[in-house]
Amino acid sequence: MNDLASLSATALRSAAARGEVSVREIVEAHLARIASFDPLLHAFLGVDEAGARAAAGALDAARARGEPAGPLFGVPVALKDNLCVRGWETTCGSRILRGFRPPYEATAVARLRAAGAVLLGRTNLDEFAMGSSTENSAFGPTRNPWDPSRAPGGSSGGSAAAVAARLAALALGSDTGGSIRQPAALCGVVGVKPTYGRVSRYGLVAFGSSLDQIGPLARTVEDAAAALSVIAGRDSNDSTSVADAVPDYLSALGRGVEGLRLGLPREYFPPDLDPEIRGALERCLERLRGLGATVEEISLPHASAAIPTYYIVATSEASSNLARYDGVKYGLREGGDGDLRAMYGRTRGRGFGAEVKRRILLGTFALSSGYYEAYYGRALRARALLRRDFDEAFRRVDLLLAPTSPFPAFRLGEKLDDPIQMYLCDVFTVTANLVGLPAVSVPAGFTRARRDAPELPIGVQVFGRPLAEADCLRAAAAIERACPVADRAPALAADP
Amino acid sequence: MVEYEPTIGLETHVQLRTRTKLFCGCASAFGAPPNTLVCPICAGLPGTLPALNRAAFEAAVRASLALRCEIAPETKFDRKNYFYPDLPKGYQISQYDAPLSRNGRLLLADGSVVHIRRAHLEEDAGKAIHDRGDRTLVDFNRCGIPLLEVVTEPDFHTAAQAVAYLVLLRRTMRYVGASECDMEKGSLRCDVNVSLAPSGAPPGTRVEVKNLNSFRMVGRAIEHETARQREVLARGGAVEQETRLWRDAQGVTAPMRSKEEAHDYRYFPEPDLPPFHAPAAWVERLRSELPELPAERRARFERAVGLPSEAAETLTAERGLADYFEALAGACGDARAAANWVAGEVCRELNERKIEIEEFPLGPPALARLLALVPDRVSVGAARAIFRRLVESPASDPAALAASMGLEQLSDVSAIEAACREALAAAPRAAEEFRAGKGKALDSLVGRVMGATKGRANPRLVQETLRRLLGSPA
Amino acid sequence: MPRMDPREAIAGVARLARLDLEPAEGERIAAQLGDILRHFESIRALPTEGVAPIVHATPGADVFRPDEPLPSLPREEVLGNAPEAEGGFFAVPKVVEA
Repeated sequence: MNDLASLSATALRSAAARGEVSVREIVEAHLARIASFDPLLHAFLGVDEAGARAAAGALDAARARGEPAGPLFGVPVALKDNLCVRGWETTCGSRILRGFRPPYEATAVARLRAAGAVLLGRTNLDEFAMGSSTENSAFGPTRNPWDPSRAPGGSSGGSAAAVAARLAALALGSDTGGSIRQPAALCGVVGVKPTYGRVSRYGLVAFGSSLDQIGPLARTVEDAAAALSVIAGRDSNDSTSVADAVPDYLSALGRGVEGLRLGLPREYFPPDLDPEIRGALERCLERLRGLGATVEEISLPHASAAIPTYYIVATSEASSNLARYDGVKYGLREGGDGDLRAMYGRTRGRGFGAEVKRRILLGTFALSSGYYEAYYGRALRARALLRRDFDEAFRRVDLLLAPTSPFPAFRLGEKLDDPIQMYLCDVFTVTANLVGLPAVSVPAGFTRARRDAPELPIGVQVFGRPLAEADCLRAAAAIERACPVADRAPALAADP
Repeated sequence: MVEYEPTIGLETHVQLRTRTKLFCGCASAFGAPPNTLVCPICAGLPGTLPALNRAAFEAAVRASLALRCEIAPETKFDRKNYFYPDLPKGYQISQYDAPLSRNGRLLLADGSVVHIRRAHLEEDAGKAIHDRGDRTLVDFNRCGIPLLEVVTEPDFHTAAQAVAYLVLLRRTMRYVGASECDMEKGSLRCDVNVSLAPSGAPPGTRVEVKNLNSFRMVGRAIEHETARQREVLARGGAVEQETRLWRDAQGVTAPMRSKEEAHDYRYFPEPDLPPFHAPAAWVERLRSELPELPAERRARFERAVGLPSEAAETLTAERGLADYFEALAGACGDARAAANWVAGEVCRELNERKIEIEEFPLGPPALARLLALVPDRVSVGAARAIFRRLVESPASDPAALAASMGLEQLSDVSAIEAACREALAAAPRAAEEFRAGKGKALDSLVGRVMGATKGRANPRLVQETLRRLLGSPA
Repeated sequence: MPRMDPREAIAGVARLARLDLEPAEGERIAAQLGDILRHFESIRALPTEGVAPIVHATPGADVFRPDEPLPSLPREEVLGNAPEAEGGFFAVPKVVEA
């Protein structure tokens, strides 16, 4: 039964829709793997075994009645624990939200359910999605399935690890500055950050509202495309969701890259780039050229402004978004016997972890009287400069290619005490969020094994024009075929 | 001694008339049990997002046009960040540097112009109740109710002017259907800014006074705050820039208890809402659909209809009342009589029944039929009695009612003459006095005739007949 | 760009953000924020004069909701996550601010 977990989401869906395997069997296979491997990996903060089994039973019964199978029929999905699911706890990896059960459901989650997906459980994350290693979770870190002494990346580290370790066929994450793509790269899976507004944010606990997007993590580009087809589209509950029709992302995947003009942003290949990552990118490009793509170097002149711009915008918005955690309505309350002011300060002081506090303080400062123009105001203008860079680039090329992460998976604790080093994990990913572009990270190879490290996955990132997810996925599918890694699974020792 | 002149500005929150809240589908209603008109969005639950109510936006534009404001072609929302338990998101969605409209004006009855600096849309906060033991209790029903904040220039120098502005603002909002402006339900709330300075000098330190829930309170608070600042300055002291609360029971303003660090609301653009546009053609259509507004209507009633200013003021209090008056005046052809009846009898009935003119059972045509009987067929007094019956059974015919109530005027000349002769015989002194030139004596004779005929005699005929019998020209 | 001593500013910002910090924590965060802001100084050099700010990454506008009522939550659900409720209200410590 365990081999069911090695099938792709699309393969599982076909087998289940045809009745070759029951949804119940699929779900049991994944629950069994979770029981075996999650004690080591800690990808999940909660597993809804009863709910998953009930959903599986209902789907099997629906099939028996001859009802049509949805596009994700029988596919077991893991959800980052910042997505609201009716009846589940939603903690965002924070003490301050512990015990919070939303009386409503995220649009993307409701769409997954309607498509026949089975919701397995909620995955670990950096607290409020703030981090690049999943070590900022109040409930302990997640481990990278390729090397459990290393971080899975973050903030959607639980989702990436769950998919890489075949604990779930598919997962949703959220990406504010790379939080889907970077862990996808570090865990060797596909991660999609859609165009801002392509997927409704309703029910995604906000971090940086103008940057956040929900997207899929999957083991194949096809699976990611199938999931994106389900969750994308206008939602009247999200005024920033775009109304454009959702194209058929699956149909574009086989078209190859012939005739596509690919741009390499020179600024994303700095001299100190990890040589193995550079090497993997170069091998990948060589193959794409061989398949008929043209490759040219381009420039994004303001690239160095991306990290400060991103951290000012994201923390400013976060300082406001996280004001609601005050001990009044839900979650943690501390100091409730004193006066109101004391309760606020204590609840927030004890409820938030160090990184979240740093960011709230940074954002509060950046918006405060006398500093607004110098920080937040300037960052909004810098954002416009970054957009110009991309507009210019997309006049010459169709897609941009770059490394997803400047380095492969790092050791747990390695960057934890150095916020700036941690922030630099996002150097290649934040701009897509600032400009609102779609970007897909796809595995492009592995590092060589060393004395102190096994082979570790390397991801390449494809950026497209706004709403050009289909082009990004098409190129990602070509990379997937040219640099095949999907059949490699991390070798996990079952918990004794 | 230096004469200090007060300068007063008003910030008024007008609750817009919509079915639902500004950013969610909860009913925008008053008086529901606590926390029963709340959904994940207005409760500010993590992950929820606002979606702007089209009707609120349109009502705000209509209200702004009625205040003769310029409508911004593009407007946006901002977050105003502060912590308070009645603010579930920790920020209020408001408008900061791109308000919906600016530069309006309202013309008061005394001819003075109030300049409107700006009007912007925002969501209301909830309600915190502080007088329950050691806990503060919070109700979110009001969270997200759509408000238009209307800010005047500091154009007022007396409490009376400020109150006159509020009265007219309320009327204007009600005329265009933008708001009920019901102060009892909190749908019109007002903060005032008062500063004092020697006449001619630039305005002094501004003090904001909050917690004003009626026109009366606004007036009293301004009077009190003006007197307080005058006293401070007279003592040689300095007025502190602060926010004070009106304590109605004591009739004083008092500093707010919390003197926390200077507010820093950290306004920034609301990322969850796109910009909104008011296309010129749409704005022009709304403008063309505006009714005649109370200030203009009052002026027209005075000038063109010739009503006394008090009647014009009363009749334009509500759009429906003015409409009723105009329909009645048209139907009966006598604007003065129509004005007296509407301002008098009709308004009295409305007050007694606590209903709006729209609910008044007697339409202008029916009332006009009654008025047509006055004075030849029924007396004014009789008409009032018929009116009260008519309100009970509006389908009745006024003439038939007059007959059945025995109130039809006695116009039979011989019967009236007989009654007059009887009166003269019964009161020879009055007759003498009249002949001696005391005109007033006629009144008592008329009164006798009216009494004898149970008020039914046509008073004009009675007068004529008495004069004839007394040998005096009519 | 205004200069600031993070150690000085941190206490005020923490008050504004309603975050109680342990003294050692405040020291550490002040130092880190100082480093971060120094790192962010590069944004000063950007030619942002005359550049219109971007708030929204995607150029949407005029997204309205019809004025049609939707059901509110049952009160049990409104108050279901509340640390303290009383008689249908959320209950909090009395507002006494120094």
